[in-house]
Amino acid sequence: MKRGGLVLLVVVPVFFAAAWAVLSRTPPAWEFAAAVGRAPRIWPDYSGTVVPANIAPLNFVIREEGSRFAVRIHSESGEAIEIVSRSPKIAIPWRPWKSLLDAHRGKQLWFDVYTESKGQWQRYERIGNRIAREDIDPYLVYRRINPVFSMYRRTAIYQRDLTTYKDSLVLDGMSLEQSCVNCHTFPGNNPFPALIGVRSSKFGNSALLVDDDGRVRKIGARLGYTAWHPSGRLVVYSIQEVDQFYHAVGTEVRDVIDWDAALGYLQLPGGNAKLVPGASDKQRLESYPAWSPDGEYLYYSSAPMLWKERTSVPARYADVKYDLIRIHYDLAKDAWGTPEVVLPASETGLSILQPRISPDGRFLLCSMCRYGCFPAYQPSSDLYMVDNATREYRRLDINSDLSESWHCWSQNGRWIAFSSKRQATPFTRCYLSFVDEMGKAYKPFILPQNDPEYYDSLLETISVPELIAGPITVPSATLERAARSSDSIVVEAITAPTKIVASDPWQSGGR
Amino acid sequence: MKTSGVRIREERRLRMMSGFPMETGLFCMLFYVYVWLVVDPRLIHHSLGVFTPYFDFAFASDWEFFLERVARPGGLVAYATALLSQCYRFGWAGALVTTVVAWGMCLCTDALRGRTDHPSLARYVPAIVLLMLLGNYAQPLAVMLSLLVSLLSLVLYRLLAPDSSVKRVGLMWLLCLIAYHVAGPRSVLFPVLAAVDELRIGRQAVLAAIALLGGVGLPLLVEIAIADFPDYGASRAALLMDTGIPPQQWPYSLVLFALFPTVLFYSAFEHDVAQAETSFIDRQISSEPRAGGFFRFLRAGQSRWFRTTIALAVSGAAAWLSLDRNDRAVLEMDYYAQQERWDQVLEAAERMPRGRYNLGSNRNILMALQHTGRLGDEMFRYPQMGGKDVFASPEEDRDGGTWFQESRLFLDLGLVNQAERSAYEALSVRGPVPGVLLHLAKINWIKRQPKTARIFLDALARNPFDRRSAASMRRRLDSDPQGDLQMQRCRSFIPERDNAAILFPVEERLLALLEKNKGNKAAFEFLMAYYLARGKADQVAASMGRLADFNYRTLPRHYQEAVVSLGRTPESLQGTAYQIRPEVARKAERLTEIVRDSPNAELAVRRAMAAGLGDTYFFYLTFGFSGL
Repeated sequence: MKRGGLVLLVVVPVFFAAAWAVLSRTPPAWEFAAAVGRAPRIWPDYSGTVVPANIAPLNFVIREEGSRFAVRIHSESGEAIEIVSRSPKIAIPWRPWKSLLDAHRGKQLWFDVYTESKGQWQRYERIGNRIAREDIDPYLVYRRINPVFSMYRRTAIYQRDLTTYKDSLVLDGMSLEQSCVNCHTFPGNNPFPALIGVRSSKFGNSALLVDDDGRVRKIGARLGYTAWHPSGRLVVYSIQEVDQFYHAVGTEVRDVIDWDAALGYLQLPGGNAKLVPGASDKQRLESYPAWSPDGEYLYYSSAPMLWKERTSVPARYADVKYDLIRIHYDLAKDAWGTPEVVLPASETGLSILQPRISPDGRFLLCSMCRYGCFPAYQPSSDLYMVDNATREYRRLDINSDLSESWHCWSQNGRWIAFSSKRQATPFTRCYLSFVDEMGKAYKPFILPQNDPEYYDSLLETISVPELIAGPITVPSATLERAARSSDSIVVEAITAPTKIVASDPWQSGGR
Repeated sequence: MKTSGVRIREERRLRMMSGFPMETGLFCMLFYVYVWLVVDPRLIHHSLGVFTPYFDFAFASDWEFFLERVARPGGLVAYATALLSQCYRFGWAGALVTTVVAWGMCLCTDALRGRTDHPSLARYVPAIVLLMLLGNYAQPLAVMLSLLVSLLSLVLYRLLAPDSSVKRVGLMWLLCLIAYHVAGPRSVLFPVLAAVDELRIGRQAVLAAIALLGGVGLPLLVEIAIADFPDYGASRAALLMDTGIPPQQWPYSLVLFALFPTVLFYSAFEHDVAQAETSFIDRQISSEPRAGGFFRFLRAGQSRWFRTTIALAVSGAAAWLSLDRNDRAVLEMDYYAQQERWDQVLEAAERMPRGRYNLGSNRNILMALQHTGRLGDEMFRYPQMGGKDVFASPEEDRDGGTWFQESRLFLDLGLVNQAERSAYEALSVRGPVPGVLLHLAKINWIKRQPKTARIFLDALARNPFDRRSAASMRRRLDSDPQGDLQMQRCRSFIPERDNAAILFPVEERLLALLEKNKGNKAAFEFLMAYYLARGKADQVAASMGRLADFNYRTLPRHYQEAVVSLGRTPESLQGTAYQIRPEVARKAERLTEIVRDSPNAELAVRRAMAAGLGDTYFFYLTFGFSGL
């Protein structure tokens, strides 16, 4: 009797739990669900987009009332993925998702969403997306940081495996006594050699040069915005004397001014730093270098310097607009040509910043904003596509009314990743968008996360995305050791016409 | 025939299973009452994010938060610390948590000595140190919980230790790993205690050395093997450092860490001492019958109460002497200011030791005076420091709470962007303090950025203790995008004209506020306060024309004093109902006389104070400070 009671005590709850689990996951009678004459509200908005076949499952949350939720994910043929859940959060199984997308490249991807309310299932209008034929680069390196005004605590660089949700740390500024680990640059979309900038009051400003053999060397110089020559033998970087200031009114409080700026370059390994002749004009501000894929031209932004005094925000701070310039370079002879205006700000009426050239060299993607040098703090900043052959430019349809910036191309030129504040300023998020052969960009989607509500309470920004073809395999401990090391490649100071003292208005704070 | 080490261990097992002393109950009750009513755990909770960063105390009830902590060494203690720290929002609950921890420490100390039947004064030391830390408004929960983990590991080790040396080493290492994962690097206390224990019980030096080396090295090796590198948050944290304890109080942690090995070491001799003591008392009773009363008292077991009385007296004295009344008043003011309980801010200001004011407390006082309509009359009743204004604190006057405090002031005035900036700085520097998240949600609501406001509310709602307030605000935000009257009022203050600046231009921004909305009384009064503090009496006089925009019944005293200090009545006052009271002019004359007749400034200050002039603007203008 005692034993029987014990068995009952175990069996009955297990039976009910199993029954509940089975019943709650029983798919609805799809065909009998009442039609709702509109599409369901889902978040993130994965509708009308183009998605790569190698992307991780696009988990989403159904923002409709209901006690049960069901989703059928399918394409034009083949088996559908059916998910029934008591939670509005839809977790798509990875393996069927991969198979579905792989088998239907170039075809439609449908989400049929159902909700159950008071025992009655409702069917919403079908959500459609398109599966691209072309894959996206499997890794995305990005920076994670609190919205920084003048104080920061933790900055970190992560790499995300786009085919899964695996996110791994590349380098954490906290492990370097609250250093700022900021820029990360790669030649083309190759993970090596990589350059990672470190600003540290304790270990000095440096750039970590990461080779594919796992070797990390510390370059004892502060490099600003950096661009690898496609050969991997040379980097061009910006030197800036920069300040941050604040607006009394308006959506964005922060703004940045480059008091002075120029471009320098460094031949690796162990070469001297030199100024780029023609891109180090004392009367102009040069920034944001980017190489053409053939390494023949260096593109950059350049604006006239409108001030002499540097004590307070100049009256004409909102008049500064950057032109898009390029300059020829002969790697074999280390010889530079003369600057050539590709697109003047006078023509666009906007400041042209952050040029990035597509891998086939046909297009140039850039940010344009009302004025200034820092598009991330300009709500007016949008992404524009410039046709390199005709030099015609157009604003992309994928922009929002908030800032878009920090963009990059995938290796095959069919995808771009960019930062946008469209979810909620000042929280920058990373978006991915398909670009066709004509340079048309399609509705972007937010970097997918395992938890679809991940971004809802994330108080950090995810920015400066860089797509790369493989992972950075060097452990963060190795990078950290190199950054701490006193052993570094000495870069001789630039001794050229422009003397710019690089400055840093941001400082670490808090323990 | 059992060895002595085995016998002692068996005895200990029996003792540990026996009951615990009743005196602990009395001690804990008094401890609880003191922490609840005198220290006030609500202020300790408020100090997180002000005196200490909030990052380690932020709590969320979701799985991600739990799993992220469980995965790293020390994460469970960190999780428990964050969770239990939330209880400090309620005085009674915070006191209860603290008391349970103190009680646990007492029991563990007894268990360490292996003499639960015969408590010593040492058992109260951790609780006394805890009291002293709390009296300094530190939050030492992480350290205390780590210590408890180490002590419990030792207790477990003693209970489970097999007789075989090899098995004992195995058990010890296993417990070391577990303790390390639960409590992080601070669990190093366990192998140290275990080594001391082995050394003194069984005289097993080799076992002790293996315990020590393995206990310290093994967790590190495992971590390196698994995670490739030790986690910065756990492994590299120094033993004594803890974000909940300000650096000046780290010696208290040292005392705690040193105490337990000492107690353990001492207890080896204690048994012999106790036996000698008993023999001595017996001899005294038999040889001197008349003097035997006291010794009979000791032998009859009353010494336990005697020791408890001493413990209570020492604890009481330590707690009372270590209570930082200045920090208490500062926190109290800030606590009430954050809740906009302005009268209580001023009451707390009265309790603050004179001469201990800082810019932060002054900011709260000025806001309280402004909200209670007394800023123009009583500003100089409190210490004002020439050259330092409340809008931009210099580095030396900044603590974690300064950014948030400034942000509240800016929002009050209608300087929404400036408030936003300061609030984000607070968030960066001190972490997701619930008050800051709520404040940022409010700012974004005012700025008509509901999506951003929702992110802050969702972040706030991750903490079950804040879920209700977040949900309530979210409902209001969803149903009424305009916001309540206070928000609409604030929105009506926002200047239309942009003003870009690197440093905050106080006067320009306050004038811009008045240009936008001439009825912005807070902006006017803070502008006048700024002029007064900077000694710009002429600007005060020149601003009298704005008085008509506000319904002052009489001219505020300090404005009268500024006018008198100029020696002329401004045109804007002539023909108005506002009068300079005769006693104001008399006070000016009196101060002039005192200064003239005093041989030195020090004496002049004392005489002026004695004459009741310490709270006047004249005094501040003359001597450069006020509020004495």
